[in-house]
Amino acid sequence: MIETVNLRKEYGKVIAVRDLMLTVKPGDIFGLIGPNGAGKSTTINMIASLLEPTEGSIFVNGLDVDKNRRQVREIVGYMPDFFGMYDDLTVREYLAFFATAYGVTEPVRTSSIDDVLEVVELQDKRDELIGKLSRGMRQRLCVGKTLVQNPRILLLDEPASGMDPKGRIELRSLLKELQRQGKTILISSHILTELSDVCNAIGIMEKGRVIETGTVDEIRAKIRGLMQLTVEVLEGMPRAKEILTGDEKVESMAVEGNRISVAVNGDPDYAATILEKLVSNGVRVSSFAREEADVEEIYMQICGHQVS
Amino acid sequence: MRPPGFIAASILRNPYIAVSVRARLRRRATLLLSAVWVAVIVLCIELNYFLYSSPNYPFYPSLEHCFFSVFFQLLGVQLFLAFFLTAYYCSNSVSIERSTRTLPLLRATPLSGHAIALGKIASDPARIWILLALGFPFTITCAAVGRVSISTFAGGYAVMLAAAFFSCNLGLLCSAVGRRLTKPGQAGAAAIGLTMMMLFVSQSLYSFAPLNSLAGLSPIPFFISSVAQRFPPSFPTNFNPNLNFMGAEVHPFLISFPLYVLLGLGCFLGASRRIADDNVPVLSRSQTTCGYLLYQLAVLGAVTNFFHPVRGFTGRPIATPATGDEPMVAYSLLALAGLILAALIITPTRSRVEAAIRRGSTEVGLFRRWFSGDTAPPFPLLAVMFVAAMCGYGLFCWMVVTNAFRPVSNGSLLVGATMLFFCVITFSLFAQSCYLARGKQPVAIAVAGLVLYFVFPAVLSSILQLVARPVVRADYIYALNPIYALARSFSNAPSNDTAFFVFGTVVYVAVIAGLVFAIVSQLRGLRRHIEKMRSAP
Repeated sequence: MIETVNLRKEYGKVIAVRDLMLTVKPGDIFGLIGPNGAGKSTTINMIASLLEPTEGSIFVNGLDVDKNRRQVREIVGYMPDFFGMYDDLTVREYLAFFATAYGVTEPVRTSSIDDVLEVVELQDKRDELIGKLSRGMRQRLCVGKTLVQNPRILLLDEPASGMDPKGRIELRSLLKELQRQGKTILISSHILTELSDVCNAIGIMEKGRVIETGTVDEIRAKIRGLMQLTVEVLEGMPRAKEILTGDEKVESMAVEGNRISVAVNGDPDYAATILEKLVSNGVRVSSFAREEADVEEIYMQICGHQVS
Repeated sequence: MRPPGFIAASILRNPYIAVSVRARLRRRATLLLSAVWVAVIVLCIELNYFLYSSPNYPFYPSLEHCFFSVFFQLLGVQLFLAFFLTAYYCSNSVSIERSTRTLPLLRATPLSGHAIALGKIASDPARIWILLALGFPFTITCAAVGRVSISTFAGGYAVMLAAAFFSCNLGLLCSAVGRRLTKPGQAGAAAIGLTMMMLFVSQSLYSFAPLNSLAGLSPIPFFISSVAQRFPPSFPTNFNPNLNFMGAEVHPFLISFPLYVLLGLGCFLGASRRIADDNVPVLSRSQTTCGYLLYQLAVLGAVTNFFHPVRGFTGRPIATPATGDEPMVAYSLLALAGLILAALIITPTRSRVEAAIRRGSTEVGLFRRWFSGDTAPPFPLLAVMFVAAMCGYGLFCWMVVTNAFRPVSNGSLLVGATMLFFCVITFSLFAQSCYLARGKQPVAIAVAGLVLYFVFPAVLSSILQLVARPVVRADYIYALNPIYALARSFSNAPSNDTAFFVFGTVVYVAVIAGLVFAIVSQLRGLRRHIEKMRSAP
């Protein structure tokens, strides 16, 4: 549905996006994760045809964005990271304006606006001036604006920024509903937990490159070598430290009271080996746990590795 | 070729127009403004009718003359609305979208840059369009009662609308070209500055021509010319409002109308390009358009100059002075277009200044040391330049008045070029400082100066012409231009316009003081801005 080929964007000497190869399949919610300045917004702006790439190509629904800007804009709903609104308009007029701008005519327009207002829960505010809406409502209205022409593809740049926890939960459920309707969504965020629940694929961006891409499980599998183990020792702490320090696959170790946290470069089988070693050497273990890395840890590990 | 209905359909189906007009008319100010406007029109008609019907002071010989005069008064005020206020309203268009971050949303829609630009010029000055529409029934009634010819009526409205078209697009262009121009006041200042520059130059060029060959450049002389047709006793006996162009008598509006439409079109194309994409080169499209226009004008000028029997390049003596206006028209148009282009080139854009700061340089633009922004020209130099420009202008006027200007000699062209050069520098500085600095006070002063310089004398002189014509000669319209009056006072011309000279000088000194203050204030603001940028991480 979305494909970038050797995509590159330069601002003078600054390379914002370098040789980006990205594929988002139809029906996916693809999360673009990365710190500020990683190139996420630039990438999304190029896909939305708002920025011209320095090099490379973008294909949206099989259309070359560079040559089919208008057609691409008709099927893409775009929500920027920072946006403003026409405060002098009512909620309904605002949606009507964008619906008309996207070529939605009556009577579809009216029903579409009603549907969108219901989805973003702003039915009661339809005749309210936008200037009087709260920040969260404005955010929801912008999401509504993105949906008003019923686009097949959504490009959401940091859509949850500024939302309260309730709003974020609602956004997540909205995204899942949109995915159920068959829409393809590319969403960016630097807050990883926002995306880990809803995305079925993520790309981690750093310094203009996608350094890892795949499903959350695939990426987790890739870094499984850095397994986190937590061992609680009842008796034999010096011996336990000696054994773990001497193990060639233990990368790092931290001791806190009777608890030892170790990062091990191995698979779950090797965890069993370590436990066996400890027990056989007379260490009394009260708890032995293997922790699954969450998206945030994955990201930190990958980015840390990349930096080093 | 698309059918003419395409334009109407583009306007009617343009969502931006509908939404924007609705938003702008929602405020009560529009209703209030409309009410005041109608009241002013009615008051104007009542006052004139009172002057006509007063038994002690019969200013108008007939009702027809009275309403003929009212027609031009109404048209003059509407021209002011169309020419200045539309530029101001449109100069906020894109800058507001930038500052409120609605522009990316607009760009992401399938609407083209042209559609958005069209929507903006149609809807942002919506209040002005409403005022003009409200004035139309009154104007047409006055025209009917005053027996204004259809050609004059149509010509007047055509020039006014063409001027409004140009003015809107100039404001829009100023608003669109500055990528980081987010303060509406800055774009407004730039737009007004450029409009002022154009009017100032056309006003000064007015002195070039023996006849009213330049009347077409500025809308105000166009109206004066039209009035002159009806009130011949008020004007010198040799006054001919028409141009002698290629052997044919041509009404000035035939120059005004296409000129404004072409310039407006150039600005429209440039603005729509920048609205669609911030990353295209600054002014590329409009510069190309202007360049093409310049080329056409150059060809026109060369042709008319070469073949015309009275021109100077062939070395042949002028047979009868002031029988042909083509060389002067062509030269003046060329000079005007060159002036605008030169100002655009010389005036450093904010991005250039910022780029220079980033690379640690203090040098920007053509005149690197003085125009770098952070090493502003010293005030005395600025003052000297300004005075020199005015002196050059005065010298020019003196040459005109003493007939030294006929025939057109290379020396006079040199003087003209020098004068234009100073004007370019002065106004480039002004535009630059307005463009870059923050704060609206200097802009307000500059605008006040502009109004003081152009509008007040124009209105006053029109009133004198139309109301007190038995005692005031048409020459005094030009005497209200203080430099011209100064030149007249040193010439052999009748010296009974001393009062106007004094008045004009006072006005002019006030305007110069206002402009200098504005420039200095803007440069201070510019310095503060640059210091802030430097201290930023």
